[in-house]
Amino acid sequence: MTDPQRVFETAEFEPGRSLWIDAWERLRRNRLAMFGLLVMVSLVVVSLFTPWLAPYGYEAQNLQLGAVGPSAKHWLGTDTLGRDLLTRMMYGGRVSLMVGFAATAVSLLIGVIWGIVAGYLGGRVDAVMMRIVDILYALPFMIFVILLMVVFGQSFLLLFLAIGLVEWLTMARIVRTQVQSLRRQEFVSAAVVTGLSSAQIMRRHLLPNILGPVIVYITLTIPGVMLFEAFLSFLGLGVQPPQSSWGVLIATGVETMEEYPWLLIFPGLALSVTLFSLNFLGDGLRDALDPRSSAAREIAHG
Amino acid sequence: MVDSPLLSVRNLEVSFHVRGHKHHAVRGLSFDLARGQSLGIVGESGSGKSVSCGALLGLLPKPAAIVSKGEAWFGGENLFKMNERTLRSIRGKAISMVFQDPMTSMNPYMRIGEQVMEPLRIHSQVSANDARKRAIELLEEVGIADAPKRFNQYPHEFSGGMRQRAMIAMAMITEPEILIADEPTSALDVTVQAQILGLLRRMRKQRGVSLIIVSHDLGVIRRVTDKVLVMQKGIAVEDGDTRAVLSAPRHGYTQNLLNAIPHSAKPDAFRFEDDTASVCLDASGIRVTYPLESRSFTAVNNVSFQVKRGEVLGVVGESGCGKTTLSHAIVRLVSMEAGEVYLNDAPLHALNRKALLPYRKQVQMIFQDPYASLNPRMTVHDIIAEPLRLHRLTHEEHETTAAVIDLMRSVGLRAEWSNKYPHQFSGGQCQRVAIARALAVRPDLLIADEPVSALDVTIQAQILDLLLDLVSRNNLAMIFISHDLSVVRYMADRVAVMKNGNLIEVGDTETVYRAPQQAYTRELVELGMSDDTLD
Repeated sequence: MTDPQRVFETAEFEPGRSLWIDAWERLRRNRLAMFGLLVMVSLVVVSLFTPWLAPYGYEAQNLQLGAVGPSAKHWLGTDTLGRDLLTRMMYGGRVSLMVGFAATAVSLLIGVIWGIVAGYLGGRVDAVMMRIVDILYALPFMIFVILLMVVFGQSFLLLFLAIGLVEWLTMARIVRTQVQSLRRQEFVSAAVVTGLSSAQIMRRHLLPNILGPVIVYITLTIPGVMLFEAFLSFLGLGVQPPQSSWGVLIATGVETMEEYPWLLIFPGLALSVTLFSLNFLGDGLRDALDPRSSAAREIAHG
Repeated sequence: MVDSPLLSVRNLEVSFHVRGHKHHAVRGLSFDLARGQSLGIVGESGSGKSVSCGALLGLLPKPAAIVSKGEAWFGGENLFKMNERTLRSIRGKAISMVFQDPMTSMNPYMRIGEQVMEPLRIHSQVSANDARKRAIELLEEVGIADAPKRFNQYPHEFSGGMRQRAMIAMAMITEPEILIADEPTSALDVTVQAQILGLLRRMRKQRGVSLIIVSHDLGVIRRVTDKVLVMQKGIAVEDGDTRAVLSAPRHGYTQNLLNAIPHSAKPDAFRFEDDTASVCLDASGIRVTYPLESRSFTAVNNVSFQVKRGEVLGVVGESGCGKTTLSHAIVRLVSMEAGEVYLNDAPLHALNRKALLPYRKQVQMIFQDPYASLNPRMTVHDIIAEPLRLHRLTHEEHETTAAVIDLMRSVGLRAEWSNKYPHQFSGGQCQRVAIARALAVRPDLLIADEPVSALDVTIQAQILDLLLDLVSRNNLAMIFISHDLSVVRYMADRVAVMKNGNLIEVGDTETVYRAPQQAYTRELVELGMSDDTLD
């Protein structure tokens, strides 16, 4: 038999890098993802400073002017009440982004923790936790949200809380399924034998390995939530006039699509660009966080 | 030979295109297969042996892999120039195939009988009744008892060996001229393996089918083929009569392959001879049961044994005999129903999770699948550093880094690889990382569960020697679990034989191998030690 091959070579030794630093390095090289990130950051910045940046007030009407197309004074035109569309889109973006992100964050927080715990512990804990999910799933979603709105009154906070409370169910199921297949892998056994506690195993070994599908699901959830908010607002349960959101603007834009097409085109464009950016960013993040992805491999070898 | 060969492959070249890079999986492969002949293709992973066979039937992963050169003449036509439709008429009819894993190569939602008769129904105009009759006959012929009843069962109701028999029946039902078997017995136990190889031999004799057997296992090749082709990195390095090649290999690589299989007893330098050594692990009356729907299944039944410091105890047995469950019970990955486990006189079985923590670092494990046992999202540095930090063996970051480098070097890894991720390593290197992680906490007892089964033979040899060296240098006790009897003989001072959850025989390795007390042990040794190394 051959001798064990020993390679004793001293070389420049780089201290340990974490997955997160590596992931950022990889993300930076992904142009589409960086474009997505840039768009999202600018949207957030604009939303934060809207009250100072907006050219008009969001409720400032000019009934004599009425609906006119884009001009030097009103870059994106005005609506039937003579309100500046750009201003309304800026204010509407605040609502849409906040609802989208906050609801998703709520669903992420509850769903991921719930899913990991149920999937890893299994057995009776899993059975009880997943039956709770099943019961909540079975509740008519719309009625649940409407009831919340009616009972507690309408507020933004409640709106995204309500949406988040429903969205986490799917997240929990996705995460649980992933964890169930992961926990049978030997690296989890190895971690147990090393002496890690269940909480440490979930945080250090399971969480990083489920990020891929979680991120993909998030990029699907955010636009879903934004559209759902529009639907609730359309029913009169969401944002109240004169406040607006992209969803509301699109919904009213549809009504006057033939006469004043810009009222539909611009808010629609804003939503599309946001969704595209989110998707690019999500795909980029998924690849960046997976050391085995092709992008990562190219960087490792290139 | 008067006849022209049945299949004639000339200058086959298969290339893979991965992100603009061209990579040759097979280069310049030529061989002839005569009617009724049995050809073996042997090589390690990545040698191109499976790819070559896949190419014949157009089963390459498209569009990444293509046949870029070469011809394969079969029945006056070039297989590589055929269109998909003509190829389909040959596939499964004139040339059929048996795959490695009988678990995944059958459709779990289809009855065995339907699957067996499917090729016949597709390739010829046979009535359902006739096809059924034919399938039952063939199932009987491949040795499935009570075939009419079995015909209506699903794959999960069949054992691995029976499934492989059914696969062979399915491949033979169209009376093909060539049967290609890709690692047909690698997923099976030795006793079942012997039966399946016997069946293949019988099929060839009775039906005159030509065989192409692809395998990494020289023992399999020796038993069923008369010609052999040795492949390395896509090139056939040696070919000839199987007996001649295996008894007097000309090429260095073939010699390496043959030498890498452990032929000998444990090397004297590593043999355990310290009578005064203290007992490291003392297990008695271990019993583990798993609840099934109606009754419970006893995986390990009243097993007792001891391991001393510096000693290697081999545990052998077939799949399902409870050897892995036993090891999991010792490290408390599963809970015991009864039994006591003393580690250096500490009663592990009586400790709760918290009290167990300090003892965790005294027992470490190495697992079978080198990729699955490492977290794919952690760098090698983090993987090895984790136990160090957890048990507070190092305090400062630079201490940890220094300790990790030491460990990596002690298992033969380069220090500058510490920022790489597991997927960037070969299987053997990953197993070295897993060994370094296990050694990080300076354990007293190392449990290795099939640590080399997933590795190529030449890599396997390196890892075995590394383990022997580490055990003796650190005066470890080791439990070495394996289905491979020649590997256990090379590693273990004493061997324990398990069957159906019971420990049926324990003793000095050479004594047990040469004079088994139990009939079952004798059968295992006869089938498992393929060659005459025991003389």
